[in-house]
Amino acid sequence: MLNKDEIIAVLISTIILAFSITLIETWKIFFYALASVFILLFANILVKKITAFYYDAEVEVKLWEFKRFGFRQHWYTKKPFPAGALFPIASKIVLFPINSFVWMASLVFDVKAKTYRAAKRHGLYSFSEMTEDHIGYIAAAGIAINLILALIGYLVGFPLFSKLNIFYAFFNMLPISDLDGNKIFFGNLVLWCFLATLTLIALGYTFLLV
Amino acid sequence: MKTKTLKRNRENFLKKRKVTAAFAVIALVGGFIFLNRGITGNIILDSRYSFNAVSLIGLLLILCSSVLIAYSIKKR
Repeated sequence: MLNKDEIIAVLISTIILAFSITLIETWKIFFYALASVFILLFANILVKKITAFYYDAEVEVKLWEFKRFGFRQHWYTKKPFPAGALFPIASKIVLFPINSFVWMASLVFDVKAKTYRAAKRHGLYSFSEMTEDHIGYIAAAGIAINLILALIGYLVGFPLFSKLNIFYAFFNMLPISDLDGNKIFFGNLVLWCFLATLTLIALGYTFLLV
Repeated sequence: MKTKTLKRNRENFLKKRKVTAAFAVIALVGGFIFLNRGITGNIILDSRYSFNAVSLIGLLLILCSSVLIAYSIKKR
């Protein structure tokens, strides 16, 4: 299901996120955050993989990196910048007063169509590649499961787990770079608006209530 | 054939006028709830009120609702 590179990416981002959220205040809180982050990342990836399977495609998860930083062609770095690993720690320094509010979008995914997709779905060679619409649905499934987990966590009585799910959904919904939000935004704007509405309402209540 | 139609219906469910309009209203109401202090305009005169993350969320919600309203009006 998950290959070696994917497992390493998930473990690295879990440790970085848990560290950034708690700064190892106490080991108990750190392990609680570690378990919460791992569950939410695992659920997110699992649902994306299932949705991709439904669309006859394969999802490969990796750490968020970017090379290009501007509009001009020569505005890029020689080596990819590991934004997924550095942004959570940097955001903790900038957003320190707001407790546990750190940049949580650290994983992105690539979608590849399976070889038999064309013949099976739409006739030979038509729509053999993934459409932006379908990539958007795969990304949206991940966001949706995080919002559902947040609701479950809130009802069951795990406020930190609930909070982290909402923060993860919020940061992933941003329509920038290679994040899920960008895929949904350019795949289906209306769907992005729906999910953004739900995420923002949840985020607002996180600041007011939880 | 039947499953393909069902799949398409499910995918287009969110684009129905009623659904988009309902979500637009939810987003608008949510936006105004989160904006609350900024609605009256007293925020300009009162220096005690500073920048608030919740108000920004309200603003973004209103932006989302405007997109949904535009879509539901435009859609025939």
